[in-house]
Amino acid sequence: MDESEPLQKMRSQIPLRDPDELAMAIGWQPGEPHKTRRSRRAWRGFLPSSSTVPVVPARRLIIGAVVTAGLVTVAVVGPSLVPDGVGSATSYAGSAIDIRQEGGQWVARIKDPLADHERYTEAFSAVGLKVELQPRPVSPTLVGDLVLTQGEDGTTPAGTFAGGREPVNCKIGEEGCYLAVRVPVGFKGEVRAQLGRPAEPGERYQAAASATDKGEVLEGVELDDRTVAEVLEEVRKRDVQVVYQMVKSDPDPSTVNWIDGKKGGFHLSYEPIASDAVGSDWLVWAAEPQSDGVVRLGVTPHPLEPVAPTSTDGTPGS
Amino acid sequence: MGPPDVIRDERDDATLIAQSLDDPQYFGALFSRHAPSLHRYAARRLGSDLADDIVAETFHLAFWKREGYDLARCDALPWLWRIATNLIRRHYRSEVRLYRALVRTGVDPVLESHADMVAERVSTAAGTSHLAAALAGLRKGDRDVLLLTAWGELSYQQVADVLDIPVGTVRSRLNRARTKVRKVLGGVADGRE
Repeated sequence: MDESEPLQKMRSQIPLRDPDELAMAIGWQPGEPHKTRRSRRAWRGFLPSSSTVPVVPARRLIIGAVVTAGLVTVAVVGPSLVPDGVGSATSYAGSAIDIRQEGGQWVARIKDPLADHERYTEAFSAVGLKVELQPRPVSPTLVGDLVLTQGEDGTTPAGTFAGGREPVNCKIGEEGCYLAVRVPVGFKGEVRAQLGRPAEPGERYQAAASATDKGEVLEGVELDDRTVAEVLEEVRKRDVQVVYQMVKSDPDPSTVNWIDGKKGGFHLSYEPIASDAVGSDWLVWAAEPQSDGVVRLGVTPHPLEPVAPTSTDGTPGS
Repeated sequence: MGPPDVIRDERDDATLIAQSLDDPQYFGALFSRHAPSLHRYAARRLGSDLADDIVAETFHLAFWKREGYDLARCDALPWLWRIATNLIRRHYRSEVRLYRALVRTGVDPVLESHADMVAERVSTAAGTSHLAAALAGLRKGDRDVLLLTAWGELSYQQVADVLDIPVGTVRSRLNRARTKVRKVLGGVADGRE
């Protein structure tokens, strides 16, 4: 009797985990000191993990956020500081950012997300915080989200850094709608945070949700198992420009870089392809917002085969 | 015209490691790329609790040793799996205990931590327990080679790099392991056990 089948059967019962979920479950992130299992458990649900880095759709990596409508201009010539009597100010108000204490937290409201990030650094510094905020152009639903929170040496800073739109779910760009970064009062370390800001016309996103997510350009469009022609029909109803990239699957099981809960694990590579080289009967793999009004369709002439199953019920093809 | 790199990364491992020297977040891409398969492999051998520790420890050690990584090696898989293999070796006894428990009870203890696998557990028995018995009886080095290929899906060359042995040795160990396992499984087929 051949040993490979029972070996495969044993292996197939172990799921291939999503890397983000795994990183969070085991409390791993770059530079984070190894913790014991016990202390790691306490971590679950805290800051998201490891990766602002590629490989996975950025939307899964994001937690909370802060940024403003950005376009609310306040005519303040110089920042105003309210001293606390011990050297640092208790609030800061400038044309780019306001920072004040509210309920045990520093709340920073960004008024101009396109300002030189040094301006934010100066503002935080004025209230005694070492926070470096770097706005990045992102697709609409990620505006205001923190896409990276990192302390010295790449570690996660202690305390909760969070954010959200104020009021909740308001529309960025409208008066009175702010995204605010919250930093615990008493935070002594250094932290670097990247946060999503609206992109300028033609500016390429550095992080994007799926184009079909609520609030993105192809909201509600069904992609699964649909052809380019079918998807284009929907796209044409919305004033959206399309670019393509070809998605290929390499049969190299050691480097899964795309995991889909239903379809399995894939090792994918991507290359740009001209629109006239794309067949209308090709399949659409994914749609990603590229810049305002431009969506990038990942397309493939044939269905992609997973290199590893994520389900627990068998190996590929079983 | 590639995708923005915050969304996806097509750089090779060595490039990511080099970039992670300046920005540790790049190491997260290496985790995303290699951790799931490594975790599955470790979980199959030692159960998911120990696998959690081994994967965390592997990437922790790798992160702190990344300055010494030979950037000429584009694929970091052998490096990461070697670290993990050394960690797994500390638990050989636990591993053998798990195989023996499976043989004794017909229930795969590794799957018990997966709540969604109750149905699987019931059907585990048949060929699996004989296989487990065979695995428990293998020499450590032979078992590593067999499981790195079968459960890790590594190539002979990758196994050679992970274990730091010649490819010829990988082949001979694999032959020996397979012969032994087949003998046990063959006995089952003949009804002899």
